[in-house]
Amino acid sequence: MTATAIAPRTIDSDTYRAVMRHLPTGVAAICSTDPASGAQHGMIVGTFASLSMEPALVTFSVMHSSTSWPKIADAPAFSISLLAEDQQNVCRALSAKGEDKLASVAWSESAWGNPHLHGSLAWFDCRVEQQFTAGDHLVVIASVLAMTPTQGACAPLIFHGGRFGSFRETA
Amino acid sequence: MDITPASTAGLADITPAFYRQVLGKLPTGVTAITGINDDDEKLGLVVGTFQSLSLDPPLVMFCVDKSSSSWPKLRKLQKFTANILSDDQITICKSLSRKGPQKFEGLPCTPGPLGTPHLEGATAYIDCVVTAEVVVGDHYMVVGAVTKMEEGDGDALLFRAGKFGQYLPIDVPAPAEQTTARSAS
Repeated sequence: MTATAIAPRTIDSDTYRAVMRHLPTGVAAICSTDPASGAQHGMIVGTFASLSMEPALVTFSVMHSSTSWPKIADAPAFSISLLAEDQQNVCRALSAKGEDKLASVAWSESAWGNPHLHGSLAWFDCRVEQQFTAGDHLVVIASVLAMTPTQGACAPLIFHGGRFGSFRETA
Repeated sequence: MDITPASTAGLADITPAFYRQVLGKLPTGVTAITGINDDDEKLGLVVGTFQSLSLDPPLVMFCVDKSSSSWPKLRKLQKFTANILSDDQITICKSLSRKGPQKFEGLPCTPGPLGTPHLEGATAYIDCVVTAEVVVGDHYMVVGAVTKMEEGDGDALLFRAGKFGQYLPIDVPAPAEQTTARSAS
């Protein structure tokens, strides 16, 4: 407590949240199938980002205290489904606590054995290459084993200012 | 420190063009990373990878292409402002994405608390000192410790599949109803 009081210019959580609300993000579902039980694990991140083309790498971060991520990362590979604007229900289902979050979600198993959520904009099969701690989050760096775009011209789901939305091209 | 995976042998051959095509489906905000050097030269680059990272301590991150000519200059200063651009700053984004020293010509900005430029009209300003940088593949991953942050004006600019755009709230009336309402006169 004393250290916190002395620390100069500490940014409180409310300020951080209020300012970072101005940054729009895509919404991605991270899923895998448990190699031991065959059960599916999943979670939602708003931090999925492109990272490197050669080699093909992507990144996202998860709360250090996440209980879902260690279960997902237990599998030899995992998937990222980039959500479309009409997948808010998927986002809610995977954000909830509890087991078997994918029970109410339509998905198919990919060639790499990972759940690909139906109706997504793109699917990535990935392998964890590196993880490092940064403050209260864990930064995950994953190599892309395979990537598949949807054929349709769907609009993305966007989280911005605490609300769901989509993308409107500037005229 | 280089943390590029030692071996990606056996992985699918994903060409840069295919990578761009698929990752282009991901909508991103547009953020200008700005700084100023000892010669009063303003430096800046634009990224689509700026992210929130940690609340406690407050950290943010972004990735920048190794081929960037601006980042090596900005890196030396070890501090920057992340200006989250608003939807009326497309011209500013284009100016800062150019090569060369005249990027800031005609761009109104004021010095932030770290001395780094705050671009007028941005939707948020996050002042940072660089706390970590790693090499990952063909990019640098930069982690910034936030020293000050404040809200600006306007709504965020979006970028997707090579196009600029705006955020469209989902819970608005259906487009057909809007059209009907507008044409009611």
